[in-house]
Amino acid sequence: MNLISMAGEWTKQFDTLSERLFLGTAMALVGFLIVFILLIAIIIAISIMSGTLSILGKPKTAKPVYLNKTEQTPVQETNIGSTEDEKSLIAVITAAIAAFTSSSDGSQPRHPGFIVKKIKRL
Amino acid sequence: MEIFSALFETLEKLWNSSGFMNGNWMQFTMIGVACVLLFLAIVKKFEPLLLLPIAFGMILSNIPGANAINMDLYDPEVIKNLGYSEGTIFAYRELLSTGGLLDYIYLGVKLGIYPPLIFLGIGAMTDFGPLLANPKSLLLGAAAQVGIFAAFFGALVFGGFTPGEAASIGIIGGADGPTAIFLTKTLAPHLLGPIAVAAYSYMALVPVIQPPIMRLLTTKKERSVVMEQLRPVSKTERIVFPIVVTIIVALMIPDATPLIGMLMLGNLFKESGVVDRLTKTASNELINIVTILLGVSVGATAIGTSFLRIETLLIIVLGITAFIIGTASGVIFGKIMYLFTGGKVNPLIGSAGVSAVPMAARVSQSEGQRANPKNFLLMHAMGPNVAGVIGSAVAAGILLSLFR
Repeated sequence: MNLISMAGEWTKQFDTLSERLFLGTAMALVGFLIVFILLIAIIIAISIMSGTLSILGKPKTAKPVYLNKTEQTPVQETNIGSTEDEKSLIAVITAAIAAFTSSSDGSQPRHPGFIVKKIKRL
Repeated sequence: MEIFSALFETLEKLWNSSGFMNGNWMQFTMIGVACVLLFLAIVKKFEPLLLLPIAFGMILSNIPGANAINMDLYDPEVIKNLGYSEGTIFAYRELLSTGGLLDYIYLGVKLGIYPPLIFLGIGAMTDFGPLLANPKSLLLGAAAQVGIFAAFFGALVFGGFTPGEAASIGIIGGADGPTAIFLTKTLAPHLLGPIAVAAYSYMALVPVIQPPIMRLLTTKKERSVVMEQLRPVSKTERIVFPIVVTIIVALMIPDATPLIGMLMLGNLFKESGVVDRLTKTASNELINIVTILLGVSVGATAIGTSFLRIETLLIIVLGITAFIIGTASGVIFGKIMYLFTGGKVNPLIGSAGVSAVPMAARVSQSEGQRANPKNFLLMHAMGPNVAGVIGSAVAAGILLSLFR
């Protein structure tokens, strides 16, 4: 018989108000403390699990960031206007830049003043 | 003339055998109570998924002469007198020979099958991401369980209930219907009807009961706190979490295994992503079927003789006290966390520690937006909300270990 079931047997003896007061307080405190301790154990387990997984998930060496032109990763150059999709893309990019550079009163010039000549996919 | 006389006698016999002539005031009162519950479920939309079948089960079992359910088959004294050995849960010979539909359906409650299956469905629908992103939410879930033990204390000391009955009444404060049924069917099966009705009614009243308590215990400044965005949670964490929780809780409190185990199994179905069919079944068809069977059979236990007593009134009062204390303790612990974190935690999310998912989290969200329209507390409150489900299941396991 374990401690908890012994406590359960013990509780059956109490009849008077003072005994019930003692039993009620003791059982309520014990029960609540066990809930708290168990949930703290789960918090610790989650923290250890998250920490372990984040360490295991980190890449072993960080990829260097290239600023020098000659060390850049090869880029894929696309001929402008070779497909319908790319023509749409050009139009969208042109419109976005034009909107960004439009005058402060919201008016836009008839011609944006620039032409998109090349798109590079990095 | 003889034909008329025979006809009259037949009609008289029919009338005398009807429910109108054989019923007592308790049965008719219970039918009235059931109609009120049906109104609340259908018109006011108070937890209709459970309250509607519970109310209808109540009608069925209180129809005079229908004998829809025979609770004597589950009464330990009756079972003992029929000559069964110690520990027999139900009079199986009599059940097989005279049992009806509701007697068989009720077996799922008595044997503790339905609540864990409902938890399987709940697990398959629950996202523990907010909890994993902020594990301290579990403390708020724990704090809100104070209501359970406070009501247990009140029921035991002042209510004159036995420890098992007091524990069953206290669990109403967990605002978790399946947990309340799971505990009560073992510790106080004769109180199953009133406790189930109280538990589901208070779950539906969360948006009414909680806000005044939240406003009373917090300042506008505290309610306006905007919390930092939660970190993203990886798929691996989501998969490992249910396994780890099941092992920890089951090892410490084996009696909580059916509830916590099925909750986490359902969640593992969802998070693993490799058993979509099982996830869909658990979160749809299975939970719906079990909800119907559980609701009707629990409602059927609310017979006039066991429901219309002073104890029922005490259960209702103690149940709402448990709920109020649970909400208050969650908010107070939220305030403690607010102080310790230098104002980073909004105390309103503490009230979501009662496990009425997701209603309690929505209440935290709406109260937070009242104080600060730019505040979005819903995901932050979901952490304590789902933690409350775990907390109330653990509390039920502890009470079961102590008083069975």
